Amino acid sequence: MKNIVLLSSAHLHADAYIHELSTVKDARIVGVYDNDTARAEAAGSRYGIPVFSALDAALDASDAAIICSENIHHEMFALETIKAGKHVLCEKPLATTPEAALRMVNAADAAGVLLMTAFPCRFSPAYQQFKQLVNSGAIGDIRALRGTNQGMCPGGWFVQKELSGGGAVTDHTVHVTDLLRDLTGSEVESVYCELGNGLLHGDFEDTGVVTLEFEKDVFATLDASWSRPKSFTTWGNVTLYAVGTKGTLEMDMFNQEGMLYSDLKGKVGVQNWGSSIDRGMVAAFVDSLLSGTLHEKAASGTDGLRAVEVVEAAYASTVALQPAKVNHRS
Amino acid sequence: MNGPTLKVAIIGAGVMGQQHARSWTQVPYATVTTICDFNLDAANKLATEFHAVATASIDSVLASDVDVVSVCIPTCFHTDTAVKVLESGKHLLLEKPMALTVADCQTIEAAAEASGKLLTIGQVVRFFPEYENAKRAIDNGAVGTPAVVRCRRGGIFPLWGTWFHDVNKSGGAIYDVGIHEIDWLLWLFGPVERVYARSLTESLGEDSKQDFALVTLRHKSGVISHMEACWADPVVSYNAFEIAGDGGLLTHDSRNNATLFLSTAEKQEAMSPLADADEPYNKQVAAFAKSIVEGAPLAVTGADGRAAIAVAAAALESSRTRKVVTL
Repeated sequence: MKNIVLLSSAHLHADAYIHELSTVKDARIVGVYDNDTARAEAAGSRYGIPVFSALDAALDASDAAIICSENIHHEMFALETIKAGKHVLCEKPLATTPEAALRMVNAADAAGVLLMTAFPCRFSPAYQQFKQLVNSGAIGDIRALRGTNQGMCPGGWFVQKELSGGGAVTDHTVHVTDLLRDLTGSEVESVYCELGNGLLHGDFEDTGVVTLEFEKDVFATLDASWSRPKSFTTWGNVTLYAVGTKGTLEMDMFNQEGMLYSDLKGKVGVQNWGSSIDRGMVAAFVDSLLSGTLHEKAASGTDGLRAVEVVEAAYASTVALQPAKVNHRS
Repeated sequence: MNGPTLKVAIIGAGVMGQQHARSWTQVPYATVTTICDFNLDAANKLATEFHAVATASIDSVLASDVDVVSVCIPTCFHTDTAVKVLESGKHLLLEKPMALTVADCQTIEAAAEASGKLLTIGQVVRFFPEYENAKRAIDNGAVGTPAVVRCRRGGIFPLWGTWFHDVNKSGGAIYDVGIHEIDWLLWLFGPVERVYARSLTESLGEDSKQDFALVTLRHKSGVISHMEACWADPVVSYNAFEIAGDGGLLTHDSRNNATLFLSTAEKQEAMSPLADADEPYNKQVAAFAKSIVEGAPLAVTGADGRAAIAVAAAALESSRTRKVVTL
């Protein structure tokens, strides 16, 4: 049995991870620690789990931690967990700078603990089949890709740069970037991004259209905008479209849903009935803990770092107004 | 015959020429009198359908008494033919894309200016009801102030032409299908400041009949638009757009708009019929006829055609150089 502690529930994905963890054999959640005590108490009662008042005690009681803090605190929580010799599953983006992400990767390597980045889209059955179809040559050789991860603006600390590190480009570039890296088996060489704040007019970017050039002869664009309005039917999407030499392949990851037109809520919404991508990811984390090696489908700390490097290059391109080379750290 | 009459010639009896001929016959006071194609068989076939005269000679069209000419020939021949038609004193409906270079567009505009005849470009998407509706909705503030836009057009490679795979003749997918989106984006969101694009156009050729382009535009208004031009799907063609603003989101996907779906052992087909008067090509021709006869303002000018070509040229240059191109 593996004991897992939740370090902060600032990120709304904590709800899903805790829920899915309760369905996994051989692991249990031992409690929550948060630097925000009120939030810790709220999470404790919401999930029905103990609240730790000190980080040391929380880590002492655990084999591993799931970090769902504000982006800016990922590094601190990860380094403390690694120092205690415990394994880490960290919410994306892995860190707010490549340097911080690299420190996390290096610390985990040096301590011999696992560092996994929470990229649950890798575990989507639609993506798994997408990848399998591409690898089987169903559409020939991939020549170009187009992705979206559009969503509603989550608000809260996500739009406070001192806590999030950035707006929509920080939040939504990394998922599709990770899928594209995983799919092509190639690193991103250069990035161009157009961003703006025309949707919400805040001091953070709410729109971002990113072009990626891969080391392999493939290009892609991805739309990271928070462009789903409050009146939209659902939180957003993850889509991928591949152009191959023999055909095309299109994925709309969450398009397994019915429509609910509710007079009770005065709203049109969707009822998603697809497989949980979080369940697959949490199960893979527990598998990794049991086997001592990262699950083959899981995203490593280095995968998390590579995505953060792409975000860095995206921002750099908006200053130079030209594509920016990705600076790969090792 | 009472009222005005317009004698129409069609130069180029291919897919678009046939479409123009059909649309001109919907104009009550217009008659298609001449079909011209260097392939006389093609000209004859279409001429028979419309009880018109067939010819393989452009000079005979220029020397004739037709009032207006629809030019529907490969893009690389647009400039020479357009200039001759205008110089011979005929109004001109020139299929899109206007020409392969901005300089050629200017040559055509100068010929129109000198002749005093009307020039319009077949940027027919402005007459597609869903695209026209979006223009009206955006101008009326339906999504508030627009911020980020996506659009897509195309699918199947145009195997019905023998010249599309030659970038020096067609310009590739950005020029041939992307031009529709570019014109529409300029119409809705105004001039473009800079362009970044990637495409497969460089490898387009006899052995690679496939092109695909992803183009990001930054409009002077601040709007970001992402345009996708596709000649890369073996079966499916579709068009789609979405416009997100600070007050909402407007979306369209032609795959969702069928009012009819036929399914038999032989074929499956989704259809979305419109009344004749609402058919985009009919509206395009009717609007031009109205400009000629009643002096109504042109829906699409030569300057509009040239503005779209300037953006297409910048996109192709950006893809080739992998640099942002500022207009």
